[in-house]
Amino acid sequence: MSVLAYCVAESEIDTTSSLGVQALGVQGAPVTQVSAAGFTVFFSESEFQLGSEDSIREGALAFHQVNDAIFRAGGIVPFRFPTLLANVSELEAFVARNREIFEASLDATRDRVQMEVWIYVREVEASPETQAAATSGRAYLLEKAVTQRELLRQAETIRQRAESQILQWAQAEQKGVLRCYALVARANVNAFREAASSVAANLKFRVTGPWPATKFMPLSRMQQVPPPQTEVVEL
Amino acid sequence: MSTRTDVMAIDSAPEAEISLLDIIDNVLTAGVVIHGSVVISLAGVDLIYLGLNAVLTSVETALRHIEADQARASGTRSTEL
Repeated sequence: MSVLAYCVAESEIDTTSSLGVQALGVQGAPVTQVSAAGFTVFFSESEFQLGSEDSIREGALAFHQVNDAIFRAGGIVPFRFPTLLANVSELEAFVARNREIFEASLDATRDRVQMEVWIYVREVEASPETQAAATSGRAYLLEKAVTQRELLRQAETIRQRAESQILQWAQAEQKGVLRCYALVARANVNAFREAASSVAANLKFRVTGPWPATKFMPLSRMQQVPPPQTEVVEL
Repeated sequence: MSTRTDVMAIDSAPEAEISLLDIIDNVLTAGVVIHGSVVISLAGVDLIYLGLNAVLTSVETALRHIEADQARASGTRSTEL
């Protein structure tokens, strides 16, 4: 049976109170933990498959709830949903091969969390004339440049307001939304949210978190274990 | 395709403020990737990811749905999130 990987945590993590001893994960499969390379690795034996939108959504939510419960007990390095491997040995091999990176990731984010701020433009009812003008190349580029400047300016304002809570900061624009990532101490989550709680009237924003601080982990350096056979399902 | 992006209470840490959209976005885009780990594929395309992308509407569309949900819930025009 395949295994669905949830996350890697420090070996001494105690999830008894947050996760429980008989927790159920995606599709009701029991959550199991195994020691590997000096860490505790959480997974379920699972045959997760593509199903309806509802079942995928439920799977993603169950996955999050497991990781969130473990995250409340201590730092974690989450796997992306759904990470399915052929067996536990493959999971253990991957963790062992990347032991230094898991160690560095957990060290760098111990007692710290990631808060996110999405800043985007408030929707304005546009007149037909304005819409027509906005479709011209020059008007579009001009509007885009103005928007980008405003998003960046607001991100900087938020960063400065919350400076005393921010340990590290990163930001990236994605489809008209400026996504900002702040590494903050667990104890400072509410203080950060309060400091980041206002932007200019023509913009909107969302503050979410706390999340595992994946943006501040060296995850791109992970070395892949040579994949086993890939099962092709013909439809 | 359904574009349901509920803003719902999640059993989470007390200080957390997270919607279903945030959760789906986070679990799909953050974390360790093990290449080749997804075993269901067809002609090189991972069907699970195709399906999940279908669940995730674009960020802009999802944000609009969240605002609409909140406006309906409050019975007023959406202002600030």
